[in-house]
Amino acid sequence: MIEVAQLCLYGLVLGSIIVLGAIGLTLTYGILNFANFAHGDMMTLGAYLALFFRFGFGWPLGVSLVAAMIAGAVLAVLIDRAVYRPLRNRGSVTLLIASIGVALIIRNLIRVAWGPDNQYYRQGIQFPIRWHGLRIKPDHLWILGAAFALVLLVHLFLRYTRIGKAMRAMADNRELAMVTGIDTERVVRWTWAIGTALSVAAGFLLGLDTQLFPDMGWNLLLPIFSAVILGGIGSPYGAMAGGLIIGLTQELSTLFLSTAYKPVVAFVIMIFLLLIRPGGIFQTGGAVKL
Amino acid sequence: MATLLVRDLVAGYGELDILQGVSIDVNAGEIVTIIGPNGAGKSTLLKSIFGLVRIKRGTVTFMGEDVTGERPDRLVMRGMCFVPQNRNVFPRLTVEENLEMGAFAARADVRDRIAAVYDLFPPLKEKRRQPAGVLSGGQQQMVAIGRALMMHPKLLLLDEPTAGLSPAFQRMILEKVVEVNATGVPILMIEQNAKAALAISHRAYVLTMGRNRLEGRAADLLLDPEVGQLFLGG
Amino acid sequence: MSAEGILSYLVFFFTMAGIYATLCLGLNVQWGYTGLFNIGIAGFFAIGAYTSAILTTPSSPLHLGGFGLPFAVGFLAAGVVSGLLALLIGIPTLRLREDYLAIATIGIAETIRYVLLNEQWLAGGIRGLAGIPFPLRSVLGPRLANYFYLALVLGILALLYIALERGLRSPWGRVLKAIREDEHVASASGKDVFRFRLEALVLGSTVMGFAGSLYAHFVGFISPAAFHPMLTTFIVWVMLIVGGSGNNKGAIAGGYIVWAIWTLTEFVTDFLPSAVATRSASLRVVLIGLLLIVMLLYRPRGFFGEERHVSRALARRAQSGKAEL
Repeated sequence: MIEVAQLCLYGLVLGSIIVLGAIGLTLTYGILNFANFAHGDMMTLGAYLALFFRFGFGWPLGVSLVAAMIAGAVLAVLIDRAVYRPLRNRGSVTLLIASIGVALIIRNLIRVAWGPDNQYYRQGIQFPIRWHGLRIKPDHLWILGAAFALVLLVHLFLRYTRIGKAMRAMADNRELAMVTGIDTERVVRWTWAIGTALSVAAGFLLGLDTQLFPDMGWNLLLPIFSAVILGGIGSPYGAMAGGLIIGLTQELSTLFLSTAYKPVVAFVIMIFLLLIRPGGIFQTGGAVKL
Repeated sequence: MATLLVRDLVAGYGELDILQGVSIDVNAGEIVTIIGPNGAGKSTLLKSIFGLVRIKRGTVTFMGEDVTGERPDRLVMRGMCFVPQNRNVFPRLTVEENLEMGAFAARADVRDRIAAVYDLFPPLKEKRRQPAGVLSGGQQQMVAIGRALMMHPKLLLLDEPTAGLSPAFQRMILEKVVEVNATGVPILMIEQNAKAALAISHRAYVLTMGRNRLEGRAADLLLDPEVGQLFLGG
Repeated sequence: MSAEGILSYLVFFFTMAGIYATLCLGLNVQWGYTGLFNIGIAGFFAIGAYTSAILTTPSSPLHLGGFGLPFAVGFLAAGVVSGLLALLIGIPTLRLREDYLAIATIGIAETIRYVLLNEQWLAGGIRGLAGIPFPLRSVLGPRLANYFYLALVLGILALLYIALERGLRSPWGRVLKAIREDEHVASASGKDVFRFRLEALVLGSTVMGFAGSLYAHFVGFISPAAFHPMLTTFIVWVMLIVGGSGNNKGAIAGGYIVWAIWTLTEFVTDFLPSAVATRSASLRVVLIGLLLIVMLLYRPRGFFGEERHVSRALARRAQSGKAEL
């Protein structure tokens, strides 16, 4: 029983990280109608940027994170301008292929700059707190707290600001958003900025929890896609639910399966959904072709 | 000065020309209706004017300025607003948020404009916090038109406003169209429900196969035997 | 570098490029003919390679084997097993929209990679599978065997090209073309669109399986690292885009051109200062990535690509309100 609770804790931690990644992905998928395969590698880049600010400039960890989030946001807007915007009318497949190219470029530039070995934000092992038989690393609390704070900020942004509402509108019905007179390019820029800032945070928290290595974001991409599809493409709230569910199922699956298969679990869930309920469990998005 | 002048418009998708040289006028304060058989190009005409379909030849002049092929969001800034036929609300946004989006380009007095829309469509006020997607077809149509009015448009384009609605709602919508027009907004409208539309319009055009067929005062067209046979069900 | 050395390098180059050109032909059947977006190429490639390897290697405690069957059997089985896998995958997923199919195929490729990595008894796990027999090496000796293999690869490539071109011009191929141009019309005229798509998927994957077998016997040793999904899959896509999709000539040309660029980048990075040269593989990927993006931006049809006949289909869909404005 305690083991299950412990796994649930790990599941919540992993799930929170996935949530942060999934919100960004679902927004760009819903608004721009393309599955951004470079999303995971932006997470990785964000984590390494924070590392750079920490050890290159000597900034405190929190400041490094914020700086990395801003840098990531700016970079994402620039990449959109250079690569995705010219291709916007060519269809979702071309954009997907282009994003794979971007993903590989980012990942391998990271390899060139930092090398393939693991990196860490800090040395030494943290001693877990014992609480009712559970082992909780202080970092876990930071991760849960940070994720919750960011998600709350995103919620307030989407709910109460003009741009936030416009983002939800565009995710709902892109053609109508154009017709209504919404400045769609501005909304797109904000979407990239916010989505990427969140994924940078996700990468950072992942690196904090485990370690940094060039494939870290890519390894999490399939679970993030699963969460997005589970929650319904274009629905940030669905992504929040989806992320937690995927995180929990992945960790709980280790009761029956080898830990190496954790990502496969997420993938199987996703395939199942695509076949039975492509609109996600809340039936908010997606479409069947034939 | 005419509000809208369309001259010899040729437009379509890809290689297909749906419109083959259409001309219409909308003068200040008028309600102008376009009727015609399916596939005549009525919807394409509206979409071409509004920058959603590519114009190959011809001109569109709005308030004296050439706006041929201009982008929809710029046209909204100029004061032209469009209510599409289908999928014309944001389903997951509340009624009030839908209206707010209509005024995205405006900076000031959004609250007042929303209040004005509620005056026009009272049922919306009590449903303002509900997601637009759960409303009935007629109520959604009210939201869609209300959204277009948020910019105090100088021209309102309506694509089949009564499509798919019950007879009671059809009557109500057309009454509201008259009410909106009475505040000084010229309206260009497409309608399948030709008889009811002609009854509230000042002038009308009949389009067939992408070309002008007939035009004149709506009252005259209502009595025209050819129109009667083709569109008014005898 | 001696003439002998250059010659043997060229033989190596043309053989490897030919194997990748085969993969590209398979992808062209799926994407170019039919519009199926498969980014799990590495999975089919790997399955073909491992099938052929397992069937032909001598028995070993490290992995499944010991069947000792001849190369030809391994080759054919590789195609069959890949095709079967495609059938299994296609039945549930082909009704999905393109990008969902893409996500599904990459998920499957990743799953295959995980299984290969973890099920040590099957394929040696991370250590891989060694000792894959090179056909006729003991009979002909290494040098002649290399020439023979080159001839084999080029021969198979030629046969596949002819067969696929024939297929394209046949009634079956014409239906595929019609489906690609306007699936609603095709389905309205009674064609079972799903069945044709499935056939194209299976055919393309069978070809990829053959390529996998050719690869395994050529290099003699395979491991999951060799089938890194993003790299294998990605480079084949770049080949198809550079060559021009929809076009078998383009697929083959793209294979050779991009493989040439890939090996060229290896020479270039050999000249870099040693600190950076250790990361040379990564730099080469960056270069290929840039190549892809540049092609997409400035020459999306590739060098030999066909015209895309989408305008009428899009027009009809737009008019009925289905396509995007």
